[in-house]
Amino acid sequence: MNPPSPNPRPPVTDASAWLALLENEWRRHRHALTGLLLFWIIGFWILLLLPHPAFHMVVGLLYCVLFAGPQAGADVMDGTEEFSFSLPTGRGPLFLARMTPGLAFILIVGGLGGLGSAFDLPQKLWSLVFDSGLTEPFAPVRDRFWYPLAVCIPLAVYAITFSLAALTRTRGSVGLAWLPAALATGAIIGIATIMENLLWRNANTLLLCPLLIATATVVLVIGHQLYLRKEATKAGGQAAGSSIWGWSMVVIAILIFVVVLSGFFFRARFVKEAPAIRTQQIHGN
Amino acid sequence: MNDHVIEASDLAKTFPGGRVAVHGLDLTVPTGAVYGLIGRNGAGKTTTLRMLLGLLRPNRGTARILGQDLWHAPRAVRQRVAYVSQEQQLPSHQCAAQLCLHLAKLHDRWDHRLAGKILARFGIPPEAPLWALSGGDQRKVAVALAFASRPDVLVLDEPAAGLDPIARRQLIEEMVEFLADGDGRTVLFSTHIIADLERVADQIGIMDRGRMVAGGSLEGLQSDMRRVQIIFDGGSVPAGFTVPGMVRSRAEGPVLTALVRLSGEDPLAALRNQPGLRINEFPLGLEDLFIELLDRQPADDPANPWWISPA
Repeated sequence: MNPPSPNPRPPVTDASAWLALLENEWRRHRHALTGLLLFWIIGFWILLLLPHPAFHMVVGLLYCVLFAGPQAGADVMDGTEEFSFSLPTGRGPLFLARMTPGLAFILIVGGLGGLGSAFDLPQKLWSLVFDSGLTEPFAPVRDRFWYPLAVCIPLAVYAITFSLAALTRTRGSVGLAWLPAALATGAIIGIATIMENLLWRNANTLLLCPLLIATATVVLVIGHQLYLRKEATKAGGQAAGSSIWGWSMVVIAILIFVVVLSGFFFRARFVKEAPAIRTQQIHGN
Repeated sequence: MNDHVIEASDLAKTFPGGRVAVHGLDLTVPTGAVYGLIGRNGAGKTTTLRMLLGLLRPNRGTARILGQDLWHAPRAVRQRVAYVSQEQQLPSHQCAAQLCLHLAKLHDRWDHRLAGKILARFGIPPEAPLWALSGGDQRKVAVALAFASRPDVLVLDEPAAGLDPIARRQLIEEMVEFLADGDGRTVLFSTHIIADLERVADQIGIMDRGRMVAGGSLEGLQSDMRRVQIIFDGGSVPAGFTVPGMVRSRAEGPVLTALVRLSGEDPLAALRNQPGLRINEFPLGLEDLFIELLDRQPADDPANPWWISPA
């Protein structure tokens, strides 16, 4: 139908188009990603200030709160949804390309950081360069549950934040998507911890981590499917959005908050009362 | 290839809150046509285009471009369609050159030379960040990007809105070059500017309240409709007097002014020999036709519009 292009180039494949989207996402968010990555590298790998695995979890959560929403809802924030949805790749590859940098960040920070903390890698690496006496090895944290949680908790918060922000239509909802995500993750932590205490009399994360991973996977799959059905927000009309959605988010957040609080109260009572009951039984006998 | 590159059948869209934007619209655009969609504000033009492009999901009916529903179409089909929306917003953190480099990786037929040429013609510096450009300049960038993908189907939603007269003329010239450059390229555009329609469109659709009121070739539409003035010698228009093919009429004293659709036989033939009246016929320009068709009175019944009844 058309004459051949005067600039012959290798044909575009689905894979190369997806990589182009990924590259574009990296270009868009590189300052945020590299900034937080530098903070983590300097804090953990260079200055050796924070060897606890909870530090990796906090860095992951910081990413979720600050950047996951704006990354997923970039089109709503910029009013470019019509432009993005008109691209030849369509919605699905766009969702995946946007999701990948954040997911990679959380897995790298949580995974590499967890390994580094577990094996005291920063100090070992530094000791290859010089031995100043300041590089006395830290005792690795004994509570092993911290290591998987450094990945699993940010992963769940990220998945929910990303999916909500990708599907919402207002800038305010994009910015606050982390809030229901954090509350939902808190609720899962509370419920799983109660279940673990009931099953094993010990919060060992055997239930919590698989539950968080499963939640993250399911939420991302559902988010992807719903994103495929998302109608493009008109460029000029997305800022106001639907107040029903905003109020629904507030109500959901409050409900989740109540569930989380109830979980923690229940757990506190259970943990405190259980030894007391056992003590009474021993004395009674 | 199918003779009709764009097809919509019984297309309907109701937005949340119950506002009916498009109501049972049928549209066919032949391959190689320049189809101009015109209508009043809120007629449903933009919604129709957005449904055709797979940006909105219709509540009823089908919308196809190149034989496919663009919502589900593969990349190979989607890249053959380019769109410039009414309120086009581009990623503001990039410049036109960066966007070109990015889009070239998504389109097989991307033409950097053409993008550069159009940007230069519009006077847009390719290295300027988009956030620093005015709304009109951003729209020019969007137009340049749409042309540079060398699409088979170009959809433009009020492309001249926000452009100065010189840029508007350049845009029209680009459209003409675009059409001349490839065989069978199709343009569908909506506009309020009738002069643009008359300059480039060979097919026209007039929309009102979510429906297609009239459609066809420009010449056909103009030759099918006439403004007819009938002057009665008796001092007033007789009660119940109608003209065959009359779409609407207005009586003032002895003069009845009517919009008449001419179909097949001359509907005025019987009247011409009737004593006591004189008939004057006036051809309609597109603007006259548009106003005659769409200039509704508040008393018009929206549930049973006059234009639905067959002439």
